[in-house]
Amino acid sequence: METALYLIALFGLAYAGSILFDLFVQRISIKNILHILGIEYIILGIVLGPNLLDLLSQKILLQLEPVIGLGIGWAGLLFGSQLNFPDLKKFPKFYIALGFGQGIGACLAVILTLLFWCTKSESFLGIKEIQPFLILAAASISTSPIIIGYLRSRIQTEERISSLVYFISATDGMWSILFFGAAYALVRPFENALSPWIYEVEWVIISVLLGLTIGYLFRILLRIKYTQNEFLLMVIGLVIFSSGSARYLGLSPLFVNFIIGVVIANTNEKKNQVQKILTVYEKIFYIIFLVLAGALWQYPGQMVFLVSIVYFLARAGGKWLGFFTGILFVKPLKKSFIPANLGLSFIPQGGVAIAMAIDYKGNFPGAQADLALSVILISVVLSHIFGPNLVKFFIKREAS
Amino acid sequence: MRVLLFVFLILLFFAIRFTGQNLGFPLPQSELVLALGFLILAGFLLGNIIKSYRLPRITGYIIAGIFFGPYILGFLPKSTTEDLAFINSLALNIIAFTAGGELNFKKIKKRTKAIFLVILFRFLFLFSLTLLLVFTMSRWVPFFQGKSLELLLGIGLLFSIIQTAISPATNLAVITETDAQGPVTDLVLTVTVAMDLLVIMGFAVIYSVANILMDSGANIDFRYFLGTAREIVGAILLGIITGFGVILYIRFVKKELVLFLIALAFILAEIGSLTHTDTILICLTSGIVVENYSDLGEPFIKAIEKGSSIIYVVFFVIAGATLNFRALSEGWLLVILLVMVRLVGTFGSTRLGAVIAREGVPSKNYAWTGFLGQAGVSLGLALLVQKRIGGEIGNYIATMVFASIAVNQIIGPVLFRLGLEKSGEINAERTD
Repeated sequence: METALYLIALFGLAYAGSILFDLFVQRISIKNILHILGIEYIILGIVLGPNLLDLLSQKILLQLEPVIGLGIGWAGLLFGSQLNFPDLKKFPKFYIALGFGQGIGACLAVILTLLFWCTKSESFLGIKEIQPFLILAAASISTSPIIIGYLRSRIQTEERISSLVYFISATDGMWSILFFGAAYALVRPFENALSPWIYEVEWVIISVLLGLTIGYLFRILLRIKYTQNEFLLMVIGLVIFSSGSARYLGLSPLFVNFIIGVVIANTNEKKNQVQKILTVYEKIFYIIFLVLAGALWQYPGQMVFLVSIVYFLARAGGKWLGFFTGILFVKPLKKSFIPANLGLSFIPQGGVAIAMAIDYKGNFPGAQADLALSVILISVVLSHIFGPNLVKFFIKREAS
Repeated sequence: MRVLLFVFLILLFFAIRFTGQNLGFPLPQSELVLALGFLILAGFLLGNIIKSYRLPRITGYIIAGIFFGPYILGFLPKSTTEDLAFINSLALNIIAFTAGGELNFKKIKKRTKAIFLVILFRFLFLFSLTLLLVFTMSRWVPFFQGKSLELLLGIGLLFSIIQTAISPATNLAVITETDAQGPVTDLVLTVTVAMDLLVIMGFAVIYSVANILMDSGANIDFRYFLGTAREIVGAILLGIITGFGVILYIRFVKKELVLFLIALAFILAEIGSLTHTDTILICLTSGIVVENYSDLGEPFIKAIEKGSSIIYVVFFVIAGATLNFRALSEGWLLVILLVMVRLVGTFGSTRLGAVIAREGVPSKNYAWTGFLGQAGVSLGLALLVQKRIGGEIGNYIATMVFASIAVNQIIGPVLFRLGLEKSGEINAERTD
């Protein structure tokens, strides 16, 4: 009975907190942007998790692994299913080049900054391996298309600029996930029975092959006629299976499902149906996933705040520099409408980055993963506080 | 093509497991995710294949769980089925919400006589026939030989009470899949839900009596009675409060109803394990409150049904995986006889009750088919017997019950679907 009252009180508190939070963000004029990402769900997860109330205990979190796998896989599959190459070809090539440039800029900036700091500092949170840096670098590439889309609908500006910004934010996740998949396979910290026989590059190939094989299975499954409920069931089963397969082989569920999504997007006429079901149920899984992400978070130490700020600044600088450098290679006539500092518009970071951190933590639990998750969560919050204003500034300025 | 896909899936699963095991590092949780994903897909494909033979999909789910579970092919180790217990209880709670939401008091009022009589005769028939079976077989079943009359009576009573249990989840799954509506459906659903409650209460009484019979030193355990009564009353009260809470949420918040119900099912599962309350009863009562004390029954059911397919697959695949078919080899004769006694008793009691209550021809002829499926409640009671009685007798009873549940769970949904079809209550297959 006590527990029931406790839980009722907790939910009442959460609901009241949500209302107060609404008032707070309105007062500081962020205009509910933080709600778009669902920061409150992450906070709820932290509160419910082992750090505070322990209602989502470690035991329950272990039992909810399939749900976590489902969330990560869903994100990867949704992203991959949106990458139809013929559609991408309709856009100017320099859009893709600029997107790649700003992403690589961020990636290199983050790697170099963190490595430099690591070599200078005797004990950088006890981290001695390169893997968490690579994961952070991969996460730095992606931009949150949700926030960009949100702002785009609210800002009056030249269509070409907002189109460019939206295109890059919607597609740079592709580079992010590709780099992530490679980083995941290339730097494996543990030894295993067959590791002398399978080289790092071969692990990347195995990842891709697994995605292609399950993608092929998915293609054939799509030939069967379904009701909507059955279709949802099939997709859920497939995502959990592919995430489980990846996890079982120590590979990234996000990456493998991304490959599956790309296969479907480019080889199957039912891709719209797939995208529709993924989009319709995205919010439910995303919210559950955010709560679980919060519950899985472990506080790695005070230094993490400094690391996060450095990461955020390095990422922002890298995005700006990468985009700026990219513009230099675009023909003058094509780039005339593009503001030179538009690279700073790609600061908002979102769900793909969080999914990467959770994915990494799933296979490589420990201090490194906790650091990566913490840095990304804090960076996401910072990017959503400062990012939208920068997006508005650069897009609006060009309009004026 | 589906059969080929199914084979391809199995081969792929083998390949991944073989590779992972030889690589030597699979994380324990990864096996859980892989196994669950495989079971969902295998259950889904098998359900689809079975559906093409006009059988209910859940039969496919159960068969997938049985074959790939720990007792036959062992794709899913026993430890994994235990790890999935939490997801299973979540699924069960959501099914219970649906069961409660389908019970409309206005409809039940018109059929009170039939419901009462079917339940009454069910208890009478199954108890009599099962006890008769136990006594008759005492000469031929090795385990019964040499046992005293009191002991046989105690064993018989325990078998009998478990025999009367019916699976609401199974019936609901078949009804949802076929979109069945009509007097047979209403009667089956109402009796099934009522039986759930009565069996739980009845078990408390029967267990005490059987305990005294089997153990001459035992006394009537009033604490157990009181404990059970407290659990039931507590669950109903909590269910009422939760039901009104759901009504308020749907009326005033109106957002993310599916997520809210999943979260509620989770909270109730936690509350249940902490306070030893029957969460199924809580969810059942909540559903009844929403359906009968508001006009929000339909959005409530619609929200749950959005995800019903995945819930049924998870539940029945895991249920199938926990069914111990190996136990059949230990006492196949008694198991077959228990199944037949249950079948005959169910048919007789339902028909007699329906005839006296002057039900329509479909109810007289086909309602009995809905009372054959056995799953969660029966399994739970068998485990309780195994734990509380313990020893050779407790284990034997549990083993026989597990095996008979396995058979009933295969034939139950098949016959029920057939019964609904014959009674003309199956609409067009659900299409969204």
